[in-house]
This record gives sequence, C-alpha cells and structure tokens, in this order.
Amino acid sequence: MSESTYIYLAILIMASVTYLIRLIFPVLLRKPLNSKFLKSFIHYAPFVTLAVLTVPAIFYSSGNLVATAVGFVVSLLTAWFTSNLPVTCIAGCLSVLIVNLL
Amino acid sequence: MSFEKIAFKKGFKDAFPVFISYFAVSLAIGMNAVNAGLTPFQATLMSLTNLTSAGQATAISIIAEHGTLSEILVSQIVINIRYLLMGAALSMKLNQNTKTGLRLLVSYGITDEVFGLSSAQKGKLSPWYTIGCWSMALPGWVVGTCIGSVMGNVLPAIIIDALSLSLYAMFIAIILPTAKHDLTIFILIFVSMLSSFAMFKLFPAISSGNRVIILTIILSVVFALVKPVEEEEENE
Repeated sequence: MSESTYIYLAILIMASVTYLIRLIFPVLLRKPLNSKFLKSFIHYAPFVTLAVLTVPAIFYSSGNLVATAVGFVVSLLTAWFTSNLPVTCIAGCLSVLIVNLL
Repeated sequence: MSFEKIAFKKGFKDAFPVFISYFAVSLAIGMNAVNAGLTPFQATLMSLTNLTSAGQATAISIIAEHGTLSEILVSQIVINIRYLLMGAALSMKLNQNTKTGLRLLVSYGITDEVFGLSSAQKGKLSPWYTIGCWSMALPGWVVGTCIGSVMGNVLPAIIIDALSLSLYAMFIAIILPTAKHDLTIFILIFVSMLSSFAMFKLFPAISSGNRVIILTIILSVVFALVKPVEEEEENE
C-alpha cells in the first residue's frame, strides 16, 4: 500500500479504537466495573505506560544528552514539588534551553 | 443563564492551564509527526481525531519505523486502556438519565487532564462541564499540532530541542503527584522506568511500541495480583 494509505489507515484505526475505549462505559455499559483484578490492572496501567514512554525516550528527545538529563531531573523535581502540569512543562523546557545556551 | 451554559463555561475556564500545556506539547507532536513522514494535514487530522498525547507519540514512532497496522492497533489499546476506567468513573458521576448524544460528546474528550478536572467536581457531573473542558483543551492540541507540523523545521534547533521535552514533562507531571502519597505507585513508576531502560539496552530489537505493550501488561498484572486496589465508595 502507499505511504499515504498506510497513514490514513493508521489514523482511522487509532481514532476508532481510542474513541471506542472512551465510550464503552459512558455510552454502552453505563454500569460500574466490578472485577477487582481488572480495576487494579487499569489503575496501575497508566503509570507503567507513561513511565515506560518517558524512559529512555526523554534522553533522546534532543541531541544533547546532558540537556535532556537535566530536563528529566528538573521535570521530576518540579512535578514533585508543585504537582502543576503547565509549570512542570515550562520548567522542563526552560531547563533544556538554558543548558543548551550555556 | 441556563444551568448547562454555566457548567460549560466553568469547564471551559477551568481547562485553560490544560490548553497551555497541550499547545506546548502538541508543537513537539506536530514536529515529530512530520519527521515521521506525515503531512501537516495528516498530523493535524490525527490530533483532531485522537486527542491523546502518549498514544499519538507512540503511533508516530511506529509509523516512523514503518511498523504494522496491528502494532499500532495493539499499542493504542494498551496505552489508552486507562480511558476505560476513566469512562467508567465519569459514567457513574453523570446523572443516570443523561442522553446518549451527550454521553458520546463527553466520551470524545476524555483525556487525563479533562478526566482530572471532571472528577474533581463535587457531586453529580454535568456533561456540559466536561464538554466545556475539552472545548478549551482541544483547540490547543489541534492548533499546536498544526503549527508544529508546519513550522517545526523553521524554528531554531535550540527551540525545537527545548519543546521536545514538553511531552515527557507532561507524562511526568501526570504520574508523579500520585507517587507522593502512594508508595505502591512510587515503586511501580521506579520499576517501570528501570525495566524500560533495561529492556531497551538488552533487547534493542524490540520497538518502543512493543516495549510499552509488554511492560504495561506484565507490570500491571503483577501489581494487580500482588497489591489489588481497595474499593472506594463514591460519596455524593
């Protein structure tokens, strides 16, 4: 298949499955989820997912390993002490910028 | 002003910080998408139809490596599975008689941040509040992607480098606060990062998409079995 077809199919698949997951309970099931195991699995999954997506990819997000390492630490500290999303993003980005400027 | 309008406006206003973060992060998403071979239109379309940061980032990396469509499908299920529980939680918070059309609208915009804001509302959730939230957040995500995809290569490298971190800063900002008061989560995050790094070094042939799938399933199952989450009663 052409590159273009591949990409549009990918977008279609992604969007469909994501929306489906989102609407299963509010639209289709409308009843609470009862399995303790499944609830626990779904409770833990995002922490694993986001953690795995962060490391080691964050270190390769730009060319300078020192800058990204600093960005990683700054993000961790800012998130820990402020629990604030936009502040953490800005602090992380600024720290990379500053390291690169030095 | 009607009750619905009040709820919508509140959601819209409350989500302003989310708009800012989404804009910053989506600039990087737009740039990555173009580098992976998507056109600006395709990148923007992806953001409009998906509204997921982690999911899109992973799909883009799979597309860059010319991974299979089934890998994309499975990765999206695993990465976005948390929306299942979020949907369940929000569904219980809505009035039982909420119409299907509104439920469909609410479901479209369930993201980590929109869920967080909606859950924090006291008592029953008005669907219009959640719709207001994503109405504010979505343009940030879509416009940022568009601009990132078009301007990404025009910006100076030093700015691109700084923006590229925003996606990961957002992931950290989402998961770390819970670790502050939950030791299990703290350990889980630490173990996840360590495992990811180890797997990356030991099995470099496994793509990042597959690594996320494998580790999410293994670690979530292990923790769910060893330390199941206790029931919490919803107080109205």
